[in-house]
This record gives sequence, C-alpha cells and structure tokens, in this order.
Amino acid sequence: MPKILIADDSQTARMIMRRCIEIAGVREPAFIEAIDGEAALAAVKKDLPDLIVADLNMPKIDGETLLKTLKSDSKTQGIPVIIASSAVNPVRNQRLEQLGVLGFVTKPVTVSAVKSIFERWKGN
Amino acid sequence: MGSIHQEALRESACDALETLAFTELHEVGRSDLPQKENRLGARIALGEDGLLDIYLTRPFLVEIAAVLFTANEDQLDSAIMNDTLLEITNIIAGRYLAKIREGRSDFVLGLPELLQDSPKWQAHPVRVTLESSPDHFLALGLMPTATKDA
Repeated sequence: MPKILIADDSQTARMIMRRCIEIAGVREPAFIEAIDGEAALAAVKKDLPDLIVADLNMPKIDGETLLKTLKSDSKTQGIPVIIASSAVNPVRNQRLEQLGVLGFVTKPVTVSAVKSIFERWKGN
Repeated sequence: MGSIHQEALRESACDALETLAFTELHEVGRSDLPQKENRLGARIALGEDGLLDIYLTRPFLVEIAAVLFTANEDQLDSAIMNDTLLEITNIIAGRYLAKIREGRSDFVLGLPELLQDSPKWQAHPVRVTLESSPDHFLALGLMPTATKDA
C-alpha cells in the first residue's frame, strides 16, 4: 500500500491527481494531502511517504524549494518526487532534474501521463 | 496584444477545458457576451508578460466543477467553485506562457487570485471570448502589468 503525498494549494488539483493515480492502477494507495510546501514538509516529518507529487507553484514553500529541502536531508533524499506544473519550462525543468526530480506532469494531468511516470517510479 | 498571442491564449483555453471538462469552446464576439452580472473572475500575474484575467459565467463554472467533482450543483459550495476557477486560471495561464515562451527562457507564473469586484469584462483592452452553450461563457483578457486596474 504505497503512501503518496500530494502537495498542491488547489483542492481541485489534488482531487484530479488522486483520481488519475487511482485510475492509473496504483494498488490501494494511501493518500496524504498538503496545501503547500510547508505543510508537505511537516507531513513528511511525521510519516515518510513512498512518493511525493508536488505542484510547482504553491504559496509559502514552492515545489522547487520543497524538492531542494528534501534532497538536502539524508532522511528524505531518497523519496522520489514528481513535479506537477501548468507550464512546461525547459530551463526550470533542467534545474529540477539537477536537483534529482523523478519526473514531471503537466496540468491538466491525465491518466496516461500519470501511468507513464509511475512506470518509471516502479522501475526505479 | 498581437494575433499570435491571442491565438496562443485561445488554444490554451481550448486545450485546458477540453482535457479538464470535455468542453469544446467556440469563439464569439464581444457583443455576444451576456450583460447580466452572473460571472466570476480570477487574475494571475505572468511575470514580464503582464496579467491574465479570466471570467466564467456561473452556470459554466458549475458545469465544470460538477464534472470534475462528479457532483450535483447543490453539492458544490462556493469554496469548491472558487478553487476550481483558480485552478482553471492557473492551467490556462501556464499553457499560454509555455506557448509564447517556447522554451527560450525561464519564466515565473504568479498565484491566481479571485477578482473580488464585479468583473467588467468589457473593460479590458484585449479579449478572447468563447462559448460552449447559451449561458456558458468564458472571457480572457491580457493586460500589461502597468495598467492592471481600471
């Protein structure tokens, strides 16, 4: 039962992501939700998830800062992180890859995009 | 705003709503917009590319939220409706920026905010108006940052 943390300030976006993950065939996922990067870090401290899907554009702590913070801590650097964003930005994506992001999904998220990136997660 | 940007904005809105809510959009003229005050608006900063305002008629937003949340209208409260509008704004803006920037440089997208005052969609200098059914309208307005509020 994989623990998946979804960090996004939009309830709508979190719901869509949850639904896509379920339809993509992830078996019995246990979802943890966070409304921004700060809440995501607090949730990670409480209970390490197996995977994090984080929106890039969030108040308080954004997705990029969240990723940086996770990768700089030995307890959390191994958690795979997927970044969701409404804008494909190759310059920024290169930066995120250097930080160790697992992959990207573009909003609006589709089941096929989630399936494809989750295959990569399973492969890792 | 040049026609290339207008086209990019129109495509972004069409792509977003087709994927999100299986809604096909058709462009209409400014004079086709309803005059009744039955709309909600949101704004998002596009960095140096200005500001984007998006307006939806309430029935249209209700329909989109109902599809997304698999809910009836009476199950949708204003918090859900507002959140859906903000997310739609975020998605359209992100797609638009990605199109006009074409990977040439880094860019920053702001956080979407609700427009609290009754939005006057005729007030904006540039618009793309899209309709999917008689009371379903979406209007988009791009403004340079310096002239953000009328």
